[in-house]
Order: sequence, then structure tokens, then C-alpha cells
Amino acid sequence: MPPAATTTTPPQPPPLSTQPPARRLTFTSTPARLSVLRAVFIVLAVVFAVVSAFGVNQRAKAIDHVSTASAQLLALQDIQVRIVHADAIASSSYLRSGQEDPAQRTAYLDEISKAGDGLVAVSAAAGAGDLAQLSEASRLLGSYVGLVEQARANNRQGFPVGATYQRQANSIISNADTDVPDIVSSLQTVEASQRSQVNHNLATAHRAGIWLHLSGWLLFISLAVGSWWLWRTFRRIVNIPIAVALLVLFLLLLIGGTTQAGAVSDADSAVGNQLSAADDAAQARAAAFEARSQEALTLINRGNGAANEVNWQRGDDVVRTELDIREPGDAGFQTDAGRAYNNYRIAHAEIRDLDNKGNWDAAVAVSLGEQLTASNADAVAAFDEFDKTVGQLATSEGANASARLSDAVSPMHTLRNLVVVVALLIGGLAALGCGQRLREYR
Amino acid sequence: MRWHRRPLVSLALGSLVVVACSGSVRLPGAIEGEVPPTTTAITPAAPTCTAANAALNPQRSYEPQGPLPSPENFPIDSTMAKIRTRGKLIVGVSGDTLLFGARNPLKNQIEGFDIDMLKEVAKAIFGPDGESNISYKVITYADRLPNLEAGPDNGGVDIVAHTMTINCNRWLRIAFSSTYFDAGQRVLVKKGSGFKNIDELNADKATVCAPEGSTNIDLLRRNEGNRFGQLVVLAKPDVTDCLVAMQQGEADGATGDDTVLAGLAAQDPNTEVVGDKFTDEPYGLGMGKDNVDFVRFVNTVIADMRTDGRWSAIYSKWLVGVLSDTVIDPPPAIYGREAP
Repeated sequence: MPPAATTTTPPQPPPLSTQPPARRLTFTSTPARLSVLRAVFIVLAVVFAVVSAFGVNQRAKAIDHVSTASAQLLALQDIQVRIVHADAIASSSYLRSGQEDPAQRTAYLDEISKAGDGLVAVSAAAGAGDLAQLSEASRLLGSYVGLVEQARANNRQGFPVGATYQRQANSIISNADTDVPDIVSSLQTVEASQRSQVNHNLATAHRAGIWLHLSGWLLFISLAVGSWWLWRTFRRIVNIPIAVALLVLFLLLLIGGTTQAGAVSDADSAVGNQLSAADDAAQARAAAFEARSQEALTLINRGNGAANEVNWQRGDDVVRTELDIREPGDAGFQTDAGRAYNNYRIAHAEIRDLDNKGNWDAAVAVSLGEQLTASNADAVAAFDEFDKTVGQLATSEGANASARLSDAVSPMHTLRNLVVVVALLIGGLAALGCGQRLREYR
Repeated sequence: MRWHRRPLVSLALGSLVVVACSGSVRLPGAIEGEVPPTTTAITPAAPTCTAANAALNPQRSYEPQGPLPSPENFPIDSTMAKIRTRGKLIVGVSGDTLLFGARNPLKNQIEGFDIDMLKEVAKAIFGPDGESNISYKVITYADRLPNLEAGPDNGGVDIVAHTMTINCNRWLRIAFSSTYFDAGQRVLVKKGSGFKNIDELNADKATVCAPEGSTNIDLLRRNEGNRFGQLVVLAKPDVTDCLVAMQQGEADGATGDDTVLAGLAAQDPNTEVVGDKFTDEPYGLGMGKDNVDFVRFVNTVIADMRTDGRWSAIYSKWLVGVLSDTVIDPPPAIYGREAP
């Protein structure tokens, strides 16, 4: 048997590649750096889109919350004014005895009804903390109405116990005893809460502006540094896509910053001017109605209304502060509201003087507008003029504040959308710019 | 209230970080200038009677000296002359004690037994139309003595007619006319409550209301013989506050003079005055402690009213059918008090 043939396989040379040998992609190589730079640009552009949209949205929401809190504040003040106005009518009607004016009665019922509806409306939009106070105000309003009806029923029968019910009713509207709840205190607590909300949200709106600028300028600097590196590495004067991205980003930051600043500036101005003026006017009006009620109670208590006169002075003090008519020469004396209230103050001083000197009948007649003062002034007409002027002021300034706050929010939504689109565009341009250089290696 | 404003940095580039950190307009957290600080007046302790004083009849007043002088003939320095010169008799009255001193809301006038007594005094000072010279000051029970002590030149009054009981302690601070009405303390309860007198209220540990500053509440607080020891005493500023307290369920009853309670019961048909009088409450017109001449003058007026039928006419006008079926005799005058 022949030996088995053995076959040997010669060693194979390594196959020849038709492709050039692959370059090692390390972070030290230019193409790798270009790829990383492109990725960084894209990531930063996306971060900018997300963060700046978040910031713009935060500012828009904060201004929107300022608007909501302002609306709640104005609604609460409207309720407070209606309630103290109703009380002023009830107190004056009591002074008129059986000669109750049907128009005044209708006005009283209308104010109570609208105040009740208003409480329901503001409660629907109130937070848990405010809800307890508003519930208390609603409960007290029910008690108040009951006491006024008791006072009225007794008064119409000639029973002096009616005056006690009227006093009780008035103390439910407002009293100086911190341990005894009253409607005005409850409402003012919620009003203070809404003012705090306005302040808080305004501060948030200011703070929210930082996100657009931080992320935007971070991207801008990154693009600028990247552009410089490209210039040094490739000795090209300009990378056009990245230069365009820088220009677009700069314009976006310019427009966005201006829009944001304008929005918050409008919000500041709406709060600091219109809302402040509406707030001052509403507080002055509410305090004046309280004072007017106390004037009637002073006369109901005939010659023994010292405590009520102290309460009148309390209200008067608030009105003079809000209207800036504390001292002769104060600016408020030049306003219609200031002049009208000062005329009423003069009439009130005469009413007290008449009552203190025992001329109660004349004091009542002057207070009810049935008799002119010694200087031919009509106390009721003077007060009504003040009420009309301040009421119009509060309404118009409140409406202006709401409109301006609403206007401040609108551009922010457009800006948010613009920022997202432009940020993605910038990312694309930056990627394109890096891609141009990268292609030179392929 | 003013809202604080800070300048706004609005330039876009300049606002890089500054915008985000700039201050904002601020609303105040609370309304300024609303509630003045409360103060508590320190009331000096009221003087109290000595045993010797208390032993004497407090109803003794200063005896009139001769017939009533005509308004034109008052001694120059007399209290009456000063009042006449002033042109106003400043009086302290109740505004809510129906039948004695209450504002009639239909007429917008204060009227009642006490008011008519004062009108007679005014006529004696100013003449037949003197009631138009009265300047009314409605005061609470607790304000009666302070108003007389202050006097008309210091915001007080010349005379008080306010269902005021004559007693020894009050004589130390003011002067009284002779007794013009004899009242007594009883109790007002809700009809159907089952209470027949103050003792049943006490046994039931009921809440009983009385005006602060009245002899009625003093009696409950003194609690002599522990007769009222179980009662929960509720003090209110005025007598009508007690009626309201009953109507609102805050009190089971109200104690007061039968005169006053009759006025309360007239305002609420669901209440009734029960039990016998458990005190005597002789009413006097209060005047300044040093105005002895005025007290003698007023005593002369009251003495004339007792005899010429004016007192009976006033009683008939206000109280017949409420406190009694017919006119009763006026209380006799008791004099003999020495001028200080």
C-alpha cells in the first residue's frame, strides 16, 4: 500500500485590501474633534431650546398668575365696597325711621345680592387658605342680613331694640376687637393674601428671565469659541453656517430679551400704577362707606356716639392716606376725589358740631341731605360725588391693570415658540458648519 | 398705602443677568393705618358708703327753699342762671328704655316718663316753651355718674333722668332729687320657660343678663345671703342688649326694674315679667354733687308736679295699663339732707 500522499497548504499571504487602511478615531484627531464639536453644538442648541422655552413659559405663567391674583384682589375689593355700601345704606335708612326710601332699600338689596354672588365667584378660584376666610365672610354676611332685618322690623314698629340690632349688624361688618370676627377683616386677610400672590408671582416673573439668557449666552459663547477653533485649525476666515447661527442667536437674544423685559416691565407698570391706583381707590371707597355708616350710628346713638366717632376717624384716616390729603398742600387736594372727600369731611365736622351742641335734629337733617350745611354744602351730594369719582377711578384703573397684564402675557407665548424653532435652526446651522469641515477628511 | 417701585433694567444685552435679578413692584402685605392701638382706661375705684352713711335714708334730699322762682329771677351765680344763659339744659337720658326714655323711630324723638319729667324742669328754667331748650345726650347706664361728675362744661350733662336708683354710694359722687318714682327689681323670662321668679332661675343655674353699671347687676354680684350664687351673670352695655341676648339665646332671663322690664316685654310678646319685686328702686333725677341750689330747685318743681296733677298726668300717659290699671299716688318727698 503506497503511503498516503500528504498535502501541504502553503501559507497564505494576507489578503490585499482594496480599501485604504482605517484611521484611528481618537479625540486627539481633528475629525474626531470636529464630530465632538458638532455634537456639542447640537446638544447645546437642544438644551437652549428646552431651557429657554421653559424660562419664557415660566415668566408668562408668572405674569398670568399676577393677572389672576390681581383680578381676585379687585373682585374682593368690589365685594368689600358693596358690603360696606350696603351697611351705609342700612344705617342711614335706620336714621330715616319709617320714612325708608324705596330706592335706597332696592340699592341695599342689590348690593347684598351682588356681594353674595361675588363671594361665590371668588371662592371658586380661591386657594385652601383663603377659602376658610371667604367661608367665614359668607357666614357673617348671612348673619348681618338677618340682624339688619331684625333692626328694620323693630324700627318700623317703633321698638328701640332695633337700634341694638343695627349696632350688632354694624359690628359684624367691622369692629376693632381682634377676637371678634368681622366681614371686612376676613376680606382684608384674603386681599392681603392676593397682594402677596401678586408680589410673589411678580418676583418669579423677574427670576424666570435668567433661563433664556444663561442658556442662550452659553450657546453663543460655545459657537464663538468653536468658530475660533475652526478658524485656527482650518485657516478659513469664516464658517458661514456657524456665523449665520451666531448672528441669528444674537438677534434672538436681543429680541427675546427685549420682549421678556418689555413684558415684565409692563407687568411691573400695571401693578405699580394701574393696580396700585385701583387698590388705593377701592380702599379709600370702602373706608369712606364705613365712616359714613359710623356717622349714622353716631346720630342713632344721639349724643353718645363717641365710640362711633372714633370709628369714623379710623375710616377717615384710611381715606386721607389713600387719597393723599393728610396735610394742607398735599397733592391729593388737587384731584377730583380729594376735593370731593374734603367737602364731605367739612360737612361731617358740621354734623358733629350740631349734634354735640344738642341740635340733633339739624345734624340728622344735614347728614341725610335734607338740610344744607352753614356753608351751603350738601353732605349727601358731596359724599356721592366722592363715591362716583373714586368708584370710576377704581373701575377704570382696575380694567387697565387687567388689560395691561393680559397684553404682557401674549407676546411671551409667541416668543416661546420662536425660541424653540430658532434654537433648532441654530443647532442645524452649527452642525452644517462642522459637517463642511468634516467632509474635507473624507 | 403706597406701593414701592424700583427702576426696571430693560435693555436686552444689559439685562443678561440683571433682568432676572432686578427688584419688582411690591404690593404691601397689609393695609397701613387701619387699626389704632387699643387703650385701656384706668377707672378709679368708686367711693363706698361708710356704715354711718348707710344707716341714713338715702332718699333724703335737699329741701326746697321757698316757692319756685320765676325764670327771670334766678340768683346771678345760681346753676339755673348759668343754664338759662347758656340757653340749653343738657340732659342725660336713655335712648332705648321704652316708656321711660326711648327714641321713637317713627317721630325721631326721644320720649317717655323720664323725658317728660325733664321737660317740666326745662319749662321751669326757660318758660312754657322750655322743652325746646333741652339738649339730649343718650347715655348708657355706666355713663350716668361720669357724665354728671364731668359737668356740662366738660362734655357731661346738667341732669340725668335715666331710671336711676337713689342709693348711698351714688350720693358720694352725685346729688339726687327727691324720689320721683318707686320701682322694684323683677325678672324677665321667655314665655313658657317655666321660670316664675329669680330664685327658680338661680336654682336652675340659669344665665341672667343685666346692664353693666346698674344697681341690678350690683345686686347679683353682691349675692347677699348667697341668693344669686348659682346664677351665671351676663353683663351688657344697655338694657335692650339684654333683650337681644335673650332673643338670641345667650341669656335665659334679664333682671331689671319693673319699669324697664315692662318696656322690654312690650317689644317682645314672647317674654313676660315674672315674680314679685325683690328690691326697692327709688328713682331720682341725678345732678352734680355740688349743685345743691339746682337740686333744691328741681325738688321744688317735682313737689309742684306732685300736687298740681302733672305727675299723675305723666304717669297716666305712659304707665297706666302697663304697670298698673289706674294712676297711683306719687312717692312722697323725703328731705333733711344737709348741704356739704
